[in-house]
Amino acid sequence: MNEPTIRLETRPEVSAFVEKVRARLSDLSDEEREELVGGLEADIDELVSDGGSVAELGDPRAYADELRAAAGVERRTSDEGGAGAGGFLRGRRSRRRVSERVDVLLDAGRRRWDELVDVPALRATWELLVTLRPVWWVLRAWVAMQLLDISTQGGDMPTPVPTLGGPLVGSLIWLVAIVVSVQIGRDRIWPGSGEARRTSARVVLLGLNTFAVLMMPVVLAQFPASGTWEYDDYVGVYDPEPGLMNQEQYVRNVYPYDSEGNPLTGVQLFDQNGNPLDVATFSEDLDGDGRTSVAYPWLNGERRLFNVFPLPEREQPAWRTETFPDAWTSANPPALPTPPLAVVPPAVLPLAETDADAAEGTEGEAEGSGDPSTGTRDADEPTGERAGAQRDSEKREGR
Amino acid sequence: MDSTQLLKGVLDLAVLAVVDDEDGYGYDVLRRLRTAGLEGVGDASVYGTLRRLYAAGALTSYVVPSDEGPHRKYYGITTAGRSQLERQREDWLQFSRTVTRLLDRSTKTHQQGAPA
Repeated sequence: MNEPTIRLETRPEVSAFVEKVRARLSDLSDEEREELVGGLEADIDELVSDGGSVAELGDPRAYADELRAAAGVERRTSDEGGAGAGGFLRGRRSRRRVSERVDVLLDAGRRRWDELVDVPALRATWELLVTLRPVWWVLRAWVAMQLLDISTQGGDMPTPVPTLGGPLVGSLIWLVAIVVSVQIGRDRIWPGSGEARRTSARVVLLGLNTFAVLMMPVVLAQFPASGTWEYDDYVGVYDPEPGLMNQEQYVRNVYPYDSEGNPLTGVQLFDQNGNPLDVATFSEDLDGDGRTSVAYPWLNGERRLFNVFPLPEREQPAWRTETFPDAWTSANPPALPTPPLAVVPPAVLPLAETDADAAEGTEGEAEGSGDPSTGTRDADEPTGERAGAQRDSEKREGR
Repeated sequence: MDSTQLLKGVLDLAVLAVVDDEDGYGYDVLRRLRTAGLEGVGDASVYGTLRRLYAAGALTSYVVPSDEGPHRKYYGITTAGRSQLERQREDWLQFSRTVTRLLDRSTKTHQQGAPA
């Protein structure tokens, strides 16, 4: 032949497309396949020269299926050919028939879908979605990791990046999961094993993808409602900041006084739900001397109670804000801090006649629950003076 | 009705008619079909049909080297193909006449008002 036959310059994207079509037809004999694919490069090449593009031909697999269907060539599974007669082959044959039927079903579904999206209104959207496939590969890896995370972490809140217990281990497995998912998507590893993948691989892949899609809402439901989850996750729920605010500052200690205005010790405080009052247990090193005041708990047997006030405090280096078990026996044991006010004005309930009894009752309870070794400072002013002071306080409140 | 569905039944006939007109390679046949008004015809469907008609003996095939790119596979009609074309042409004309008549009648019935 003459010179032009040597110059077979096909556009690379055309060759790649035809290669994929050829791969999809790998169940055929070489002769049959070349019968179908022969001349295709020239045809598509000319389509491109004519102003068309390979992209408008759609998925090479669907293209190959259409070519095969129009040419009237049956799809064949890879284990066909060597099958002879004989009883022991019957089982294998019926399995083959099932897998063929499944293949036909999947192919029909695929063709139907291709036809469905091949309308002017959807074509551009579908092409965009096809180019976004890698996003789905990463997303399904994320779903799988979240499921793993949820099932191993129990009731813990999930984090957007799966941790799997340890930050480093989690990141590594997460990375591996992405690579595996992408390689499956690129048909490099099972079950994404190429154009001529077996029926089992197609079913497994379809099943896995469906599962990932179905699990997506389940995983997302693990996160608090959108918009606030970041805040809640890091500040409110996932890593709650303990404490009680007063005057825009954390309350670090509480100094109770009885109704007569005398300081009390060992008062257990609970909120309206019966939860122990929770205060921030260390102060900031505001004066910059490298030391900070750390609150120590009261005890009920082994239980550490941080809701019994005032809390004993101990000066510690600013970078050691935890409590030490042996602090009480150290040279610098925790001590009850001096109340900020030695005494405060007394307080009464509006019903003045019963307030003395009520005050005594309250005091008794406080004494009962207090630590006996510390004791409660008892007020022993005469009742007459107290009544005068009460009137004073009433006047002040009335202002 | 979607014309691509209708097309499937008569693609053989259309392809045979085009090739009978003049020998052509795949893309050329596709282009001529589209120019003739069959715009919804799929690339792979036409190429597949050409392969099948060739395998059935209705077409011959020969390779022509091209100046710009890969060689082209030309198709020409055979005697068997020509008689198939004649047969199918008759079938088609009769079929389309029947359907047209049927549709005409149904249109008239609708215009007169169908009995309840």
